[in-house]
Amino acid sequence: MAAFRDANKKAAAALRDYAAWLTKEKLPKATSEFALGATKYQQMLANTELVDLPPDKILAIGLQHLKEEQGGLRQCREDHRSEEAADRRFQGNPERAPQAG
Amino acid sequence: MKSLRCLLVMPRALPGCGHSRASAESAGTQKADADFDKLALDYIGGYLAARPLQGVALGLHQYDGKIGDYSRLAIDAEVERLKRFQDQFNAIEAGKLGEANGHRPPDPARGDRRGALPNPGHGDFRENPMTYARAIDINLYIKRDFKPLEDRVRDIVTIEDQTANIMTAGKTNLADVLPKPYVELAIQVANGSADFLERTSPQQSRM
Repeated sequence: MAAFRDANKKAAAALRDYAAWLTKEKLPKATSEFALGATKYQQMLANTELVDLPPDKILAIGLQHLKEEQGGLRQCREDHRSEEAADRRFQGNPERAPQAG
Repeated sequence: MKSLRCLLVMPRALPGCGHSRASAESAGTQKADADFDKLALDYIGGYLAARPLQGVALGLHQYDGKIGDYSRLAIDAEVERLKRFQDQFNAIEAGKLGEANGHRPPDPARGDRRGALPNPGHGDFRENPMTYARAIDINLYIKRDFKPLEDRVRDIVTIEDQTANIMTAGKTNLADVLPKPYVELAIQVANGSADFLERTSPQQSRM
């Protein structure tokens, strides 16, 4: 148990030291300019996802899917509004409301 | 060892895993399959030796208490090993393998999405500081009751004793300029792991 506590303490200290080193030495000069670029990205897709399509084509497919999804959401919103409008009409005229049973 | 072959090479089943071979397969095919099987086993053995935590995760307890070597020398050796296997897998003639091996060897140039054939390279060790921050993973030893607690604690101690060496390797191996989000996340991961270790006691594992 003493060996475990000692190892845990030392391991935690080493990790804290690593975090402090990253904060002091690496964070100040870290860059946000690390995009792979089209060629490497295509290579990565081929290596990790077995996707051979060029990035432009993948983007086009994605945008097409996005457009279809947005169309579906718009339709849902319109359907919902129609239902709300119908509900309001029923509230104003109970005789037109659907009968239970 | 038989279970290892079945576990890791499926669905490219190997002989001896209960899959029948068509009797009409030629002697050439059988030899090609035997050569492939040997190559695959050699590859997997070396792969897990370099990544013992993955071996333990697969239930292969000859890797208990071991942790990967993150020194530059060991990484270079592993990259060379992967390239050597890449050449050997490339040299296999696709048409000669039998049905059980999927008629063709894996495509090492692409890696394998199941992780059987990683792309050779130093990228994670040189550019990703999280590689080191998350290297000490003792979760398996805490949440899996695969042997007596005192033995698992002994393994944890052996692994944790390597933490300082691994962090030193990280400081040596990492490139001068790193992607900012990687650095920020690695700092969080390292501090989070330290928090976890400071709060962990053997009594938390399943008895």
